Amino acid sequence: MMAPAMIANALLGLLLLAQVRPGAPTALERWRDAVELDLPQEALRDMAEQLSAQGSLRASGEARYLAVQLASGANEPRLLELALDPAGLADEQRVWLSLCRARLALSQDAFAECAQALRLDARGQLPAELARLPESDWLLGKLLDRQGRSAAARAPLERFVQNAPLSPQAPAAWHMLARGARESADPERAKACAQAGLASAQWHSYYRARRIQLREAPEDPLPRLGLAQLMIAAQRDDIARLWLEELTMRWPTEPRGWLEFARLEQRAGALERARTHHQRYLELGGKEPLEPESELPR
Amino acid sequence: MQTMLPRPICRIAPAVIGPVLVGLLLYGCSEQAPPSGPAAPPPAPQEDLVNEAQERGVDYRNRSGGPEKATILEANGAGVAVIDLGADGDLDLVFGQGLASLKDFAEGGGADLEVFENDGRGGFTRRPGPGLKGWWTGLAVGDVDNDGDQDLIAAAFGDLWLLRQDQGALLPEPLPLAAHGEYAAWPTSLALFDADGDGALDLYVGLYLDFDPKHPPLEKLGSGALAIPCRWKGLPVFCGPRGLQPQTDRLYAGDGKGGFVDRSEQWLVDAQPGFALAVAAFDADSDGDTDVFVANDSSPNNLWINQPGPDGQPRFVDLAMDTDVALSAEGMAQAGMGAASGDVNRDGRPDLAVTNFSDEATELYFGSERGFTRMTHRLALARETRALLSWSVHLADFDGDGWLELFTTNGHVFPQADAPQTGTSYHQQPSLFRLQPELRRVAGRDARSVLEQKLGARGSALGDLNQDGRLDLVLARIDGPCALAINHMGTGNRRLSLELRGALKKGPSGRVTPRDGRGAKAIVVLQNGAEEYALIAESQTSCGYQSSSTLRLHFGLGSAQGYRAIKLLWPSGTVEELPAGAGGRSLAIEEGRGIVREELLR
Repeated sequence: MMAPAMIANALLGLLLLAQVRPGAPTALERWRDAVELDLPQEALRDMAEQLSAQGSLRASGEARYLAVQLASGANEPRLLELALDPAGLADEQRVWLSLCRARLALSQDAFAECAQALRLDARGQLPAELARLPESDWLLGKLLDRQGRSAAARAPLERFVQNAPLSPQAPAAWHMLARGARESADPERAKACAQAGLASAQWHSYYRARRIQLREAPEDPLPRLGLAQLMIAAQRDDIARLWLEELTMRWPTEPRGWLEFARLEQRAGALERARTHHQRYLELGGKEPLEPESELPR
Repeated sequence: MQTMLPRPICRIAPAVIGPVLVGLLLYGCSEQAPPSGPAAPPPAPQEDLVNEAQERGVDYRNRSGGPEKATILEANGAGVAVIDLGADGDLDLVFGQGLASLKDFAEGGGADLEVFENDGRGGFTRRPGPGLKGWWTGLAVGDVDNDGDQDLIAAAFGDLWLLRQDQGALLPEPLPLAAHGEYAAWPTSLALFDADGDGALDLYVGLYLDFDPKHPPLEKLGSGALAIPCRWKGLPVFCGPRGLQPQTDRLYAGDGKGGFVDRSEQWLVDAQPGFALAVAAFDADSDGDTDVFVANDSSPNNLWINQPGPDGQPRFVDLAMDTDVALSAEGMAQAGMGAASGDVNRDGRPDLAVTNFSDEATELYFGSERGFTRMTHRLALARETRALLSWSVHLADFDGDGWLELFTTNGHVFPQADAPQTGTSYHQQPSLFRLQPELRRVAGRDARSVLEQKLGARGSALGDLNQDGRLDLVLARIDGPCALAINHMGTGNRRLSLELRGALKKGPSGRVTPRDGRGAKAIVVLQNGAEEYALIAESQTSCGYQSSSTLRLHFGLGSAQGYRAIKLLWPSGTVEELPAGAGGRSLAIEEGRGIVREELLR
């Protein structure tokens, strides 16, 4: 089971559901964004087309899952039907249909149907093909939590926050873990989970705000800088680098972009590039020093 | 279990999930077709909550800014109170009111409160208002000067008034209400209750947010590249509450003579700013004193548990997080709009209902030993309420079968909700659910049923308006005529109504019961065949949204002809037991004196 230190570390994991990056997003990326930012009309417009017999996303299980989320919330039964139609899905993608049905059942407070859709065995375990998707653990944990079975919910929820720490559902999973810990009279774990949940919620709140700002001010460097900083905080230096490259290329006189880039290169061990970027920052009027190399974590 | 009469119940099959059903389930189902037959004279009202506002003379029509709802002040609507003016034993009505234009308000305009007098049989006549001017929000009724009649506290944007009753007239006196920095205080719901057990009613004032009617936030919050547009599901809407500055609630000590002093710094030490919209006072931990639940919009709810401080004064401690009523099941702050308490599962502990925004469920919590247990999903209430934006809420026995039902007023804040693909709508009809033995939505069957009218109501107050023993409802719509929901349900069931009066004497607990009996609980013991069971209710008025309901307790006896006993738990600590008696009556009970008046219900 998770120790508090592991809980804190899990926040800095790898998986991110909607990874906003510079450049034109793919349709699937736009749909993820629409789900996470609650902008149903942006995606509903082309979901029906993309999931039709000739649609390019008909074969994607994840696309079906996103469509189900928006269609059920928007009361669009035709799209729902389309998304739940197994035709056009390869065998390995059909597992997403189970998740679609489980999610729908949960939204209708239909616990037995949710358990059935998740194909739980006699011990309440997920089958292997579902267990490989973190979303399955999320739905199972949520089901058990809603049934008032917080002790049973602990294992799937812990797996979920470990495997998908930056999922938009992570704050909720931490909250449920905290409540379960309180109910089992484990105040220390409850506190650690609550803190992790708070940190996760705060990160998502900023991430959401920066994405909205980017949409509203696509020609402004500040939202990009914010997104780069959030990616650095989440140890996604690879995505942060993309933002900083774009930022420093399009707005070369924006000093904070160069400073963040210098710090990123320094952490990556590219000290020469770090010094060059930092020098550029100083030339633009910046005052903050780089951390002494001797104090860098090894 | 009581024998159930045939009712227009929409039973929803929980077993089937499918694309079409999702839509159907979200929007409920319709009543059964009436049996065919020869033409009959106009039927008497069916088992239903029938809107009889027009024929009963209540022509109140709400004004709440422009129809486009460009600002948050215009979207929230008004409250309503039932109050006995003239101490003649019937319930009169007072409505809050706004203006048709925010600009007029910003330029100094204001509306008066609107008053309607009951003729004793549920017919109403408009009376002159108190002559005040404001954009009215919340109302609370109670005998604040302990002189035996009911007074009124009325809140308006930037104002708080005591309207002391004197021989049926409401005489206004301003109460102190400090501004929040450069912004006027925006009070919403109020609660009169006895916080310190001295027999004098104290006043909780829920406060909402910083808002300047002259320069309201429009279109976006913030500036430059970091500005956030005010949108909902991608549609431009009014700004707030998120992104605006919440205000901190206040708690005033009453002196029992009509005076109030702000005791927030002493009694609400840990209060944080929140977007308070609803306040429900009740004994949440069943320890004999009164606690306060606050439903906050887009910020965590509060459950203020009344505990004695080191100086003997009350010290309210917020246990909402510990008892799991602060946030959604997923840990998100919800848009709390209304709150009500009552014993839904008949275990003797108060349960709690909290209404929320669309895409959020109306929450139902059962009181338990360690606080509250969320039952929302286990009762399938989320499925039924997620598409609704609900405001006022009541847990009351409308049909008299001995089990409480859940009633909510509904209506979206955004007219844009009527756009395609939002999954919700602007004008919504009220909802009534039976909760036992399983959740069942009650559909209207009378053409004038409030359950079938898209009222877009906000505030609502409970009370027996026509003195037939059944709880009726007054609903304050936004931008439209009010509704008077006269209760025609449970015609075969017997009722009992109790009016409790305190003795204003210190009792074994060291506390004093207020004159109007507030905080007193009655346990009515019933027998149905071999089964003996008890119903419990607490005398409080603050529930719902910005409204004030009757202080009188109403019990449904089902088919039982009478009760086995009535046990009274007075806030003073005095416990009294009254012997068996007949149902179908209204009893006035005074602390230490037993039944002092008894009338047959009509």
